[in-house]
Amino acid sequence: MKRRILVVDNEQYIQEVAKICLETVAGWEVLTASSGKEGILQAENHQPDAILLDVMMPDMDGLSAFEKLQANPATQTIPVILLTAKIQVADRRRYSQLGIKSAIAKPFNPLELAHQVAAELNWNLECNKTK
Amino acid sequence: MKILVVEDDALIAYTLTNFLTDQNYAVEVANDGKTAWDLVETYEYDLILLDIVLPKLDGISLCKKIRSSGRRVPILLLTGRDSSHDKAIGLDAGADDYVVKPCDEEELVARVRALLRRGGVNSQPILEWGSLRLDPSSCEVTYQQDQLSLTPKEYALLELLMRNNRRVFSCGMILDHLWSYEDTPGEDAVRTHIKGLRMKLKAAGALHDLVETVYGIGYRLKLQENDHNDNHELNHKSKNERTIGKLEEIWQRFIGRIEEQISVIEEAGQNIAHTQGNFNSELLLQATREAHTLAGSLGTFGLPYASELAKKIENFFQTFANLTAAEMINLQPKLQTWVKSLRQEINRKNQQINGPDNSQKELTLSPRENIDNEIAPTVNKTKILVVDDDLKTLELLQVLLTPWGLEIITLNHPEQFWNTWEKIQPDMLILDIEMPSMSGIELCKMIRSHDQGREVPILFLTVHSNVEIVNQVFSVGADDFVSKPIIISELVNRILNRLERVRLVKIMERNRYAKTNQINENNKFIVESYHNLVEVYPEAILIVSQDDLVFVNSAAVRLLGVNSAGELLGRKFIEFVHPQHREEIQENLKSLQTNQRLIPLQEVKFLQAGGGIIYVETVGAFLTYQNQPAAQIVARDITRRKQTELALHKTKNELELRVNQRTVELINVNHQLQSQLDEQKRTQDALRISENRFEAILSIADDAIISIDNSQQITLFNQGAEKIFGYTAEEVLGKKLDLLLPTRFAQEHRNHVATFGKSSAHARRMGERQEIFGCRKDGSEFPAEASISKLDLGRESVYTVILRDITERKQVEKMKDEFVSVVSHELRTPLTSIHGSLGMLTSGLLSTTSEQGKRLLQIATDSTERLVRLINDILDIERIESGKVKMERENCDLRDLINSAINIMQTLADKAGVSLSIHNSNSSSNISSIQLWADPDRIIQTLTNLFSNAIKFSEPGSTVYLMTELQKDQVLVTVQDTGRGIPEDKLESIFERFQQVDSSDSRNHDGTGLGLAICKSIVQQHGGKIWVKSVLGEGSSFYFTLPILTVYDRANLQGLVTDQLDYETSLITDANSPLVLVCDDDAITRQELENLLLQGGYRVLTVASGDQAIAQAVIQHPDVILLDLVMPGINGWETMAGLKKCSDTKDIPIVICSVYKSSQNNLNCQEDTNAESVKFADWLSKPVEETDLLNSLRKVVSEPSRKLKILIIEDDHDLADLLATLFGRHDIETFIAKTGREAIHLSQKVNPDLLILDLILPEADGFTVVDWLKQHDQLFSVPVVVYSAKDLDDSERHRLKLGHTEFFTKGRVTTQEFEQRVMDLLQRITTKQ
Repeated sequence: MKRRILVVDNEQYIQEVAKICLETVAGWEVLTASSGKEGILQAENHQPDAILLDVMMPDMDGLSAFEKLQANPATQTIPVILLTAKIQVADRRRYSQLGIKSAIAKPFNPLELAHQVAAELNWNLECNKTK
Repeated sequence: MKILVVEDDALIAYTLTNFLTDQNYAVEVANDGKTAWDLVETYEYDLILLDIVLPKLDGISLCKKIRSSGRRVPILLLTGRDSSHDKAIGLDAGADDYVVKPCDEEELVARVRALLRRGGVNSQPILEWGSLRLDPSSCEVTYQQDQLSLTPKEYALLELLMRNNRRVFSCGMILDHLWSYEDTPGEDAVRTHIKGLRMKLKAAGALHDLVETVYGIGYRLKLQENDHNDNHELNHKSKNERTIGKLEEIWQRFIGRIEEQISVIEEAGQNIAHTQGNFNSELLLQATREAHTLAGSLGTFGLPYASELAKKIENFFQTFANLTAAEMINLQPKLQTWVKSLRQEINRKNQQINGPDNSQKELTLSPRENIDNEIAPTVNKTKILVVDDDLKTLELLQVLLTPWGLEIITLNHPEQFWNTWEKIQPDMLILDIEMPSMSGIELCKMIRSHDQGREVPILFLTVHSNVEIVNQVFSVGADDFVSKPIIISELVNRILNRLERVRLVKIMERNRYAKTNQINENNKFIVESYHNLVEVYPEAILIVSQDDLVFVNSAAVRLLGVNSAGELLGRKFIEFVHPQHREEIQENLKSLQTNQRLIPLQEVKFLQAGGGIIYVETVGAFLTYQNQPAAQIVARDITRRKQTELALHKTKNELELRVNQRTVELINVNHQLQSQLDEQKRTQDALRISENRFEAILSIADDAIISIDNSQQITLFNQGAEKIFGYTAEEVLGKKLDLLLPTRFAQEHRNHVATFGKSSAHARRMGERQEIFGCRKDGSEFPAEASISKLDLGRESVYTVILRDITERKQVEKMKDEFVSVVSHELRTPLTSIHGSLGMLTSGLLSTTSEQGKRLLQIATDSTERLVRLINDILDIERIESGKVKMERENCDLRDLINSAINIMQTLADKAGVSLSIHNSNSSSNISSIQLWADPDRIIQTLTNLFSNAIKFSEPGSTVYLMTELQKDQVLVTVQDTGRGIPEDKLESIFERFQQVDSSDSRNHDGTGLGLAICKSIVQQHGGKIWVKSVLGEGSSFYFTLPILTVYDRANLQGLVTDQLDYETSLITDANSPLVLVCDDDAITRQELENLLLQGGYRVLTVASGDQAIAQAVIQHPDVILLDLVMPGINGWETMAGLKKCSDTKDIPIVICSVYKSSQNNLNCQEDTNAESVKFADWLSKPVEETDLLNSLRKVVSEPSRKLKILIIEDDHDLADLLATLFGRHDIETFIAKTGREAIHLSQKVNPDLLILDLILPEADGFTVVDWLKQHDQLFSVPVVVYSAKDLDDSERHRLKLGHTEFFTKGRVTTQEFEQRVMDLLQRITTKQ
């Protein structure tokens, strides 16, 4: 069964790139959302196996969205990985305080992204190796 | 009571006198025995106090003398000798009592009283007279138990009368008894006292005449008591009766004799009658005598008529011998008559006596019996010697006069006179004239010729009363004459008066005597004193009489070097005068004799006996010495003085010398001190300047500079600290540094400071490990950065904290962090896309030709572009906001800008299907030209941004409108779209960075989020505003304003100046600005040049061709022509030639503005033209730089007729020199004033064209200088360039205005700029002139 990943980022291009990367490399099903709100909706509706969550978004930022997800029993259990430019030490501390275990820095290595995600989630990955 | 005190000791005499006068005694003092004896002889004293040891006559001898003279006056001896032997001697000598000195006052007085008592009538101590009581011991007088208060003299008077209460006292006697001879008043005094006494007695109830006046004689006490009175009356009566009785007795006794006498007279009468001229002369003589006697005595017996008859008879008998016969016969019958009458009278008397009353007959008295027992024997009775041959007269007188207190001694036989005289020593003589053996007159003569008898009063008592007898009587020296028959009262009166007179005479004599004595004494005293004085006088006194020394005192003896006066006396005075002065002295002495003036004080030299020379001061006076004219010379030895003077003089010279030396020394020292002082002053000045500088540094420092002492109390708190903390220095000085810290840090801080204090470090940053905060006055905290340094001054340490409020910095840091964070994110975002896409592609997992691959490439490309844009925008906005990019403003037309913007956006608009529309809201026409002073590119950028947004958010087919509206001094530009609008809460925030309304919108991908922020920045930099109005769903309108350029504004805006500089200028473009004619065919060039020139304050006229240039030059007469070379029509050279040809314009300086460089063309032109002097003032190559242009114009337009003068007022040496050099290069005369005072002085002297003024100066700061200059009639409008260290506020700037004043802050303007500005100013000034 294909894993389903939800990518939440307000940047269109990043959504696309990320989607292509994950699909190509990991073969996962990738859903996208452009805002925190949208992301929550998607999560609720489609119950992804994981969420890649951007932080810097207008309206609701990633962390608030995360809280919402946690609060919602429907989405509580979905593991969340932050995908963000804010990866300073202070930021990381903050994330862990909130309960987010992992964060991946932007820009990300497109080839490595899937692996990083899998590693974080302890998934086995059958990925398409580079030729 | 009168007491004589005989005492040689003045003090004791004085004391005794006081004692006794206290007791109301009259006291007289004699200082020696002789005087005492004289007094005793003259006066009556009631008591004598006698000292034994006396000069002249000792007390014992005197006492004996007094006693042997018969005087019974009480004598009280007082003396220092106490032995019984002396007492015995004294008492034996006749003293009544003996008192030993020193004697007690009380005892003495009591003894005196006792003695007086004894001498007095009453043995009782208290005197009584009727109801009158007098107590001598208490000096109290009472009348019927009422005490009388009497004056001392009244008391004394009463005592006297009471003691001698039978005696009559005349005024004179009273005076004698009650007053000492020195102060004896007149008789009126006595009468006054009597009156006083009577009044007091009357007041006490006594009868008025208790003190009885006995007229003609004196006063006595009257018997007043009734029984006494009666007694007395009786006694009185009986006394009268007795007297009468006595007379009768005497008559009886002598009746026989009288008979005899009558018979003789009768017989003589018969004889005469019968003999008729042959009379018995002897009988006649006898008859005469008897008649004489009868005449004298009959009257006394109460037969006055008989006396007269007898007198007549006597006369008759006396003159009988001389009568003629006829007269004889005539007078006969008269005689008979007289005789008969006489006889009758006598017979009658006999009958009377022998009448019924026979009781009287039995009385027999002895003539000398003192019948009146009541008559008190008074002290010192007056003795009267009566000489008369008629016994009955004698007896008569005795009887009659004795009651008056007079002692009568009778002498019947004149021959015995002298014996009696010796024995009795009478006070007075009464002589009869007719006496058988010797007439009274002869006797009188005899007495008078006798020594002793010269003074005694002689009274003649005789029947004779004819003138001759009287004359005789007086001629022999008798004092008075009383006729018989005796009238007792008259006789007594005469006697008493005579006695009075005698007494008076005696007194007067005594006075005279005493006076003479006194005078003699005085004289003696004077002489003695003189001698004493002269003797002891320390200076030599010499008396020179007729050239000889007749008197020398002991000082003179010493002075002249001899041993005794004897060696000098008799010698010539001149011998002792130094030959040098002899002549002078002789002259002096002579003139002294002649003029009897003084020889004034002079210094001469004397010769001593031994030959020694002495210096003396002499003064001389004339005097009579021993009745000879003489000179008294006083000579003072001044030898020593002379020596002293010499020594003094020498010393003085020495002293002067030393003083001079010392003065020189002192002057030197003074100089040194002065130079030290100067040095000190200099140091002080330097210190002050340094302090000023320090203060200035402190004051300009924005940072807080705080000094604290060992105990962390604030000792220094600069302006920066004041600003930062909000306290004034006064508020914090002395307070602890803790005040400035938040409380939670206080303790820790203290520890830190303490640790620091102990450490050896000199400086340290505070809060190295942590942030520190400061606490303001209002309680607010702020982050701070500080460092602390330590200065050890021995005991004390001074800590200085420099602290900075880093709130802003922190904010900025925070903002930067945020920005970095945001930007980093923003950058990473496209990077992520790029990296991701390209990464995927290069991995080979996707083919670039696949759909996804192509998509990735596209994404990568777009993201790259975005990244670029982002970076540009970021840089842009940073630069704009930081001010690093200056808006390069210029005169531009909004219309053009809008057009440009539209051009740029057109393509985008077309692509979006949006049309752009522009119009002017003022009019429906196209946008008009609006001049702006703006950076055209930036405005275009703003417009494009707005357009971009508008287009982005507009639906295809819609229109984006741009409108301009000209407002008062700004233009309002509107960009309006009909897009989706902007929510209200974002209307403000969208102008912030990275704010996008909806970032999810893909249309925002292009945007960087910085566009509006940039627009805002640009608009604000131009002094405008930007805002947005929007309705969601309908569209948005973006507005911004830009200020329009007015002529005034144009003048104000100057390129190089930042908006930190403020200045005022007068309208540069007034008629006095130089006119520049710009000739260039290129409009843009023209425009550019015009701009530059306008900026430079010139008036500009532009022409496009050379012809026009010449024409305009003639009309307008510009000050300078800027000439392009390459022009159509006539070229620059030709134009120049034309200008030069015309006389109006040939002098106008020409500046070439050409693309060509000058060096090349110089050569060319010279070749080209016709050797006309094509003199051009300057060459500018295009593009023309403003500075070059202005510089050249400046040079060209006004050749300064004179050198400009700048006064640089700056205390910093280096800076002043720098400025001077700077401006010196411009051929300007510079003057430097280092102090305010110098500035004022120099500015007057130099009259500069410009002042460069530093504000902080010694001796009056810049403000003061300006204030002063304001008063100056020329300099009040001098242009000033204020070049100060600190920024000035408006009031300060106002204060500093003189003429055109500009303000520069050191540090904010570069030297070059400064120079430029000043040159501009000068240029302006000179051109104005």
